Amino acid sequence: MTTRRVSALLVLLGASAAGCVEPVTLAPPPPESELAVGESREVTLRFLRLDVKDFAQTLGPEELRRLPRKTLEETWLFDMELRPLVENALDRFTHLPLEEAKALPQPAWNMFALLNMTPASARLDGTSLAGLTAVGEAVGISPSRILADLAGVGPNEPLAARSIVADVVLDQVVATHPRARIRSGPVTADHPEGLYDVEKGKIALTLYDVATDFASLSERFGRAPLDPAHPEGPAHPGFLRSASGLSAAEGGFRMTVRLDVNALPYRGVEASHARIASVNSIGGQIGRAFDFSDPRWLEVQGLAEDLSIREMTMTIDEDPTYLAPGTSRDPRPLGNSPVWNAAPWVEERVLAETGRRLAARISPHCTTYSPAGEVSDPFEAVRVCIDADGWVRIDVDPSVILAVPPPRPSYYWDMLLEVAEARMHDGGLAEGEANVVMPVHDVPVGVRTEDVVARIRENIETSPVVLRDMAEALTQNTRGDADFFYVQPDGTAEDWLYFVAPEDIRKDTEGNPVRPYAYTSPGFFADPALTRKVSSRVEIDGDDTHEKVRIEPGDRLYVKDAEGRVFEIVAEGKPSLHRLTLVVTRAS
Amino acid sequence: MSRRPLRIASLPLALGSLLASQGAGASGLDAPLVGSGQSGPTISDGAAVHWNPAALADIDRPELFGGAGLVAGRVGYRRERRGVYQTPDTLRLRGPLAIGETDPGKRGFSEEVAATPIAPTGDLFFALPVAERRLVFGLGAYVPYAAALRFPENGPQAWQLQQAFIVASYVTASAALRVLPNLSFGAGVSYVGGLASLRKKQDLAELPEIQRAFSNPPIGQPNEFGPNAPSRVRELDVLSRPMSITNALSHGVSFNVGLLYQPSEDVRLALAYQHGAQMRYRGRFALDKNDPFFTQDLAAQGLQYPPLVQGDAELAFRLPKRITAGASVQATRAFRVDGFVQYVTYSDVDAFVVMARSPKLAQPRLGIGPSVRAILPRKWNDTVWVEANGRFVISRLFTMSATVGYQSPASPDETIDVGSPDGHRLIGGLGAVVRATQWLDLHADARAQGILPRTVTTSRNDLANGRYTMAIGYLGGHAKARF
Repeated sequence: MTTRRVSALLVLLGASAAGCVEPVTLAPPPPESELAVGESREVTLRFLRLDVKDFAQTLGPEELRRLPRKTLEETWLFDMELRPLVENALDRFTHLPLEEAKALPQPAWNMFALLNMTPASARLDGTSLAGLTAVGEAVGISPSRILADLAGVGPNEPLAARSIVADVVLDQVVATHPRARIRSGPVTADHPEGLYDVEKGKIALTLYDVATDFASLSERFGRAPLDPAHPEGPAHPGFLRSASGLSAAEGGFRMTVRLDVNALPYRGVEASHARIASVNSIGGQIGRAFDFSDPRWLEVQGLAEDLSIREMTMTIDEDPTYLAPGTSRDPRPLGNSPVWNAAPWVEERVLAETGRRLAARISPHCTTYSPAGEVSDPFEAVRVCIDADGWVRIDVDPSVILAVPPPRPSYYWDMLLEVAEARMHDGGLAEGEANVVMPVHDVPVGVRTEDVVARIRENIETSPVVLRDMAEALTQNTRGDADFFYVQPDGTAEDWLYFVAPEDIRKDTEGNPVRPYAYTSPGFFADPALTRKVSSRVEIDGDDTHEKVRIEPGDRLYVKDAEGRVFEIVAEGKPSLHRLTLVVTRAS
Repeated sequence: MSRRPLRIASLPLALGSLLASQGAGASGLDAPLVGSGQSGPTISDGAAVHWNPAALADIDRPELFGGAGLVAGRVGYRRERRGVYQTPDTLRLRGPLAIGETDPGKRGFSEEVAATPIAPTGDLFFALPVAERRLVFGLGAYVPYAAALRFPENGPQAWQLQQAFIVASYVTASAALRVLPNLSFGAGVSYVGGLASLRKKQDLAELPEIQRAFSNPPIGQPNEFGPNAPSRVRELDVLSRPMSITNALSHGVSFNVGLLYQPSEDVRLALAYQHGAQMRYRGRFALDKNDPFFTQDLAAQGLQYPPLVQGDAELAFRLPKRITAGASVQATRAFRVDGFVQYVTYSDVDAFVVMARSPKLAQPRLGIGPSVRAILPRKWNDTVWVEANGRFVISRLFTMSATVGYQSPASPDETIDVGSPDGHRLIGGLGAVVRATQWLDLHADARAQGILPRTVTTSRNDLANGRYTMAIGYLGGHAKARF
């Protein structure tokens, strides 16, 4: 016998028959089997409010990890202007220390050299412009001077202005990406498919981007089918290979919103089993959940004052075939290069478009060059002209003997394209291997945190519904699959039944509805044939999306569930002010 | 001298200490007798092990003294709610309450509820003289505290107590030494074992853990919960959770010492001291959290219990000390009077503290750990117990006795509740002894005690205002065998 047993015997001395106390146990659960036709079951619903004020919902790293990806992706924060980021990235890339640049893979080094190409550093060998060198040698004029005069830049200035390159990248590469044009968001009447336009030159940033430390950008702006409906169809190759590390203060990003809501879910009934289920209530309150007069309604912490991305690699893919520069002025205005028929995002097209835009900035002019030294009569040995169409002619006096013929007339962009294509394949790269890769570090996003926060505030104030999914996911207290639920409007003890709407459907861990909204006759009816609807979408507490009906003891209603079964609902009584007892009978 | 119902407030102490978070004084049922109705601090029988070990010194033959009895009583309580209460199926965290949010039905007197316990009790003593009239050893097993209460499950007292069962038993080894012809000294060492179970509706609104859980992030709502929660946030359906503590065992040690002085043939004077005992009840608790509010609604905020939380419960408290002064006078050959005054240091009982432990209690995000400590203020007063017993020898074979007594209340109005229905207590009893043989006496006793009906209007936070009544009866018998 154990000591404990001996002790128990001792203390029981003299009280052997004393009363005992039953330990608390759980009441047996109510039956939950599916109702048979004609079978009835009673359920009591409770409407319990927990009205909270300044109910802080904080999204920190932990919460972000916990929320479904779909919810994060659909929680739009703001559209970020990309120009500063692209310009900064190009700037960082072109200003890489030489040693670091030399260590880059050949395609990246080639692009580094190309972007830094000046008239003085231009290598024209292997191109038709090599004739320019011959011209220069023949008349004693530096070809770089001819090139600088033609381009309208100084001998040591980049031939391609960074702003123009950025423009072209934004227009040709970024803006053409299918995921840059639209973003996902909540389904509303105005956006029934949950898709929203994104302004050109911007990308939509969502909580998912924050949650993934911006790594999601490379996934989103990587290779993507042009038509999402045809994933195997033509695709955009993407422009971001990697991105990560949005600059954050210690502790990481934290976003806190404060809500004034009833934090508890509604209790409803899953009619087929006459069992109680819960329906999240936060989403329906989101439109009036924020006190925008209180600046604390949204607080963002943990972002560095000036945002930057720790690492980013931009890419522009080359066309696998050689796209020769044009040789003809026609068809106007671009000439006959096949590059203009290529996809706008391919490298050659980007180069050609850059050349075209550079040409547009050059005023029509002619420059004549005479041989070096004293000549009694002015002798115009070389004449270089560019007209308003960007057509370049280099005329050499016939008296000048050249080892190689001068460059043929061509559009300015064709000249540059030929040089660029040649330089991009330096190092023995074959056609199709010169994909541009630009790895950069610590790239300023070009947006100040306070501006980011201000934009997020503005966007949510305009449309609080963007936070609906997030708020629901944060509270995630929908349980079961209610067909209808019990509500007492603010400040009343009236009893109402609401029929579930699509947004009430329980979500899975990925944020997707666990079942389709397959109700063919949502609402409440007075007859089992469902011919006389007694519910409506009358607005109550800002809600006009639910079919609803006020109910009093003795009332009899009929509903049809998503599987087409009809149920009779009888309000049996009110056990207390905020409770309602219903008898659910399966009618068919 | 005789009988002795142990203070009724002493049971409340024990039981109350068992009551978990709310704590509650224990019932008004303690074992009304230890020994027979004629046992007492000036009486030399086996029960002197308990009353005054010095009195053992007068036992000149081995003695076996034991008996059994039945305790029955009625504890009545008619609750008067004097505060304002929220409609119980709502959940406002703090006042003020709007019109319509108060429950007009929770005002004034409720229907009376009553517990009518019936429980057996018993004791057994043995005395062994080893040096004639010099040294006597004693051994006793007895039950000074016993209570069994069962109130209605959903009565207005349910937040104080629904059911309780408590026993505190002593096993004492004593020795008495006659140091002078008319002066004896005795001492005993006791093992104090306790067993307790109870059940109540636990009002979570009074727990500091709940107060903090709601006020701190991530819920972050100012609230009036906590030990001093006003009535307007109490007794809400969602926060009223059934709980029980069962099979809580306590093991403690105590001692007593005593003197017995006989200045003359007819007069005996006694002085005894019973030391307190540190009791530590360890048992199992069960807490019904089977409400979606606790199991799912705020899970994302970190509030998520399993439907039934079970774990270890520990209740620690100190039994009070008692100093008893007794005297007896053999007035005539046939008539004797015994009496005593006992001073009990119930002020030792400032609060009941309960510790519940279970990994399932932990709600880390809300700052609630696996241990929850609950304190129920008691702030009891020291009490006085006076009692007198007259014994009349009818014949050589038959003796009768009568007892009257009084106990002052320990519980102040502020902290009284149905678990310790305390008040000015009047005691009365009748007894008879029949000498069956030369070596066997048979005792029969009937005893009653009750409090003067007590109306309380200043209960802390309106927890237990109302009218208390209590009456307890004992009927039993003992046999004393001398060898």
